[in-house]
Amino acid sequence: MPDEPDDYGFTNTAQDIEELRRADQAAKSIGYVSREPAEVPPPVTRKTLGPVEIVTIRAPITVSRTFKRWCDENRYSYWEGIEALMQKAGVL
Amino acid sequence: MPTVVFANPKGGSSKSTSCLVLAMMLAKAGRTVAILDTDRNQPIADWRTGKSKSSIKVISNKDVDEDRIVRVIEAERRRHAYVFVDTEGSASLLVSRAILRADFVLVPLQASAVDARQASRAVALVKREEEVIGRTIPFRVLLTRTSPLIQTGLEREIAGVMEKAKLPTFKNHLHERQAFKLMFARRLTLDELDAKVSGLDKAITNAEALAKEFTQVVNAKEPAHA
Repeated sequence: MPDEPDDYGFTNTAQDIEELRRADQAAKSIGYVSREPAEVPPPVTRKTLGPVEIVTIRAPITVSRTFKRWCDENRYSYWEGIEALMQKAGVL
Repeated sequence: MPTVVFANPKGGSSKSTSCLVLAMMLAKAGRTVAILDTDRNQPIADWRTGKSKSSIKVISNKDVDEDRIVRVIEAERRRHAYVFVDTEGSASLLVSRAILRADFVLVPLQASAVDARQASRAVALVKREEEVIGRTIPFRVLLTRTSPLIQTGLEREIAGVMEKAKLPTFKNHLHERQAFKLMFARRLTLDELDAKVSGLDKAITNAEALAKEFTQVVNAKEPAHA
């Protein structure tokens, strides 16, 4: 699948892309590596919490793991995840 | 128009110096030259910020990264007689991608065992890429920072190793000259430097001889410029 034309008006053909892939592969095989800086995720800004209390939950492992994964994917802290779910359920 | 990549994964092998010196001599002879400065230290982009009246166009690494290198080369070679790619002293994919579009690879090499080992990595990369694209990529080793007066034992030894390995080498060297350092410090061309600079005339003579050989080697159809 060719790229969209860039600022220079060039479009990589499928052949160009394949050539580049093979060249990268050849270079990597003799120790050449990418030096581009890794993309840094934007910092997470935390809301001001106000008074807090600690809640410890015993939950089935399938539920706790699913909950944690869902929070990570949506960039929620755990309390923000609970808040989001309660808002969705119309509790908050 | 020729695209020339200056490559050696070893830092301090005079890639930027040889790149700028040759670009200056070509520009002086009326050729249009663009240099893609992909070294993160940006020595040539920094040079361009000075007061030099040279026509050399310099593109900094803000506009050239691994993703864009091939396209920028393609764009600039339409606009300039020569496109030079100055690479950083590391074994990066950007170097590999630049070589993919190179008409010629110049491998600067100081006469030291470490430099020679790293230069062989650049040559190995050229050979691998030749297999990928199914064409020959001409290359030549340039001995740099050599003494203009005597050939040291180590230089002789390195030259012998090159010959034994049948690595093509420039007959001219880039000598160790104060003027080659001052052109970066003053951000001027060799011709714009103060005539009182020690050995300036000899540095210019060295640069002209190298540029003459370079143009003959890179483009056999083009008459030597100097």
